[in-house]
Amino acid sequence: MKNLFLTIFSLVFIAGILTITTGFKTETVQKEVNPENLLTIPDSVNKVLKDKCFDCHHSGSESMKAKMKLKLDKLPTLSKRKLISKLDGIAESVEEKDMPPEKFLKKYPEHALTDDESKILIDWANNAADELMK
Amino acid sequence: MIRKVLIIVVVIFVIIQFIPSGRPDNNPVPGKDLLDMVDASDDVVAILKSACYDCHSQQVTYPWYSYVAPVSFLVSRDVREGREHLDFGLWGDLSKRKQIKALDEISEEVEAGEMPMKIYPIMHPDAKLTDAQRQQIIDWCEISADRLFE
Repeated sequence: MKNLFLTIFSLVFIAGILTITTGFKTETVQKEVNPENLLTIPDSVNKVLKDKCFDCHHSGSESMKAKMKLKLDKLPTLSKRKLISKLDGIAESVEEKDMPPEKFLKKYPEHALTDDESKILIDWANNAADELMK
Repeated sequence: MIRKVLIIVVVIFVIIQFIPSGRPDNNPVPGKDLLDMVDASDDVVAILKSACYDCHSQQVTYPWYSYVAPVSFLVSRDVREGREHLDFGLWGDLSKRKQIKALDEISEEVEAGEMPMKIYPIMHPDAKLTDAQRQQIIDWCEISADRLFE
């Protein structure tokens, strides 16, 4: 009986920790706000980035290559020049279907972008980059 | 036995000389080259010419061994792929936004030591960049990119 109670308690505890950490992870995209406010990420865009891109493209990612190219959690802290470059890169790589990588999608097909999601990302990245060019 | 193998190797070597390597030609367009459009110090020009322009431009100089197969296949591929990623000879065809991205990516790759490719300085010792030279390129990229939206 005591064992059962302990098991349930630890399961709830682990579940709680998982919820907190994953919840935290998914929110970081939006949380770091640039003091100059060069970039706003609408909720619709944030959701796609969070669901489909963030797992590889964040500071703590295991993929060296992915985080060298783009760290989404740092996006709002970048200089204007860097932001234009990264936004152009997002639009281009999604448009040319270089991202998410084909090889990666074979293993994790749930990370594929729908046509709607691609359009949301491309339109946002293009407009935001053009806005910064003005 | 050794003689036979040698003969086969020589025969293969001779035969592959007849396979076209598809070496890309140079087609420079006056006024469109990066150095016609972007200010750069003599030092930076020298680095770009010796460390980048042999793949990423329309001013590729092909050394004698790049005419000999199988090296010719490798050189041709590198120039083709290099130009596909970035061709300084067609700088003028890029939008300002793409130019900013190109400059930003140059600075990132030069800083990370990804460019020039490790194999390149073996035959081109001038392309082996010192830390100071890398920094010169990074600074030049940042200044040049910032000028494009100011």
